[in-house]
Amino acid sequence: MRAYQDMVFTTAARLTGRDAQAEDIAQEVFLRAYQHFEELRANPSAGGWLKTVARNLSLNYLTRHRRRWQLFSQLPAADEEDAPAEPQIPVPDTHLSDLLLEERRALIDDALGHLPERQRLSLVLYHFEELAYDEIAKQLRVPLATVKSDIHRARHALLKQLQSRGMSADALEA
Amino acid sequence: MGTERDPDNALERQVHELLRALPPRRAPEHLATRVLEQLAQRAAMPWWRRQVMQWPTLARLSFALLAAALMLLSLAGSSRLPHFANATAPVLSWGHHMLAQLSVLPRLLTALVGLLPMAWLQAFLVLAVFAYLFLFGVGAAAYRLLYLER
Repeated sequence: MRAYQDMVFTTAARLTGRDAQAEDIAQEVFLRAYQHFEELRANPSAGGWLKTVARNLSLNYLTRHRRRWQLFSQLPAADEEDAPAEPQIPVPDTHLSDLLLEERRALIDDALGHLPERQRLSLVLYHFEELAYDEIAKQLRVPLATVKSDIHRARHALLKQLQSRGMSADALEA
Repeated sequence: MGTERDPDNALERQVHELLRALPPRRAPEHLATRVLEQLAQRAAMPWWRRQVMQWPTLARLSFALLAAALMLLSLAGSSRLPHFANATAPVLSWGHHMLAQLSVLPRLLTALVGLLPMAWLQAFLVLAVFAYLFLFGVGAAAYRLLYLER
């Protein structure tokens, strides 16, 4: 369990955007793994199984959560409806360019957490979970074009968020 | 990975590299303890409180037999339905009587509304709509501020 707990927790945390929920989901993943202990013990793809279960449970959680709160949470933020501005070319500085990896991770995870839910989900599923556009559309039950536009907007928004947090060009390129 | 990835898309590449270079987040220290506690709790649970599939074989078999017996009993009981209907006739007639009494309510309400001035009714409706919108707004704002920000 110790070997996989960070991976499982990270998957759930990035998808749900909430640590408390990610912890509950991680717990549920390991409880299910325990039920399949005999099959998983000698299975080289146990990590993949755990990751898939973590992803599915996170998406189930978000679907339930979204159904309940869709009306409120999908109200667009003031700047959300505008077309995404091209990210400005970051001015190189040395202020934060030597961020430690853990600080970078915290900064990027925080920026991810500030993206609108659907954008964050699409981005995480594409870049971290490495799902194809059509698979994401199927998982999130949204049109393919929406997924593509969400991911495009999310990339711009993420870079904008990172720049507003003082992440330099060097740090973004690193 | 999707075949639709565009290798020339600089933004995609930049974000991909940025995100893929991230180390995993560290799971809370107490996660393993929580899981083990939960497992111990489940193990200590009496068998009849677990999922049916986790019951002892004998208990599962007995349960299946009991369910089948109940199903047969209910089927046999349904053939005696006319007798049952006769026995419950007084209760049903009392129910019909009560429904007839309740049917007076809409007429009473219409009469009361007729007594009120139209302006009052309109004001009441406007107030109700505003109160609904206000509470809806308060709920949405509270959700966004208190829940989403956590």
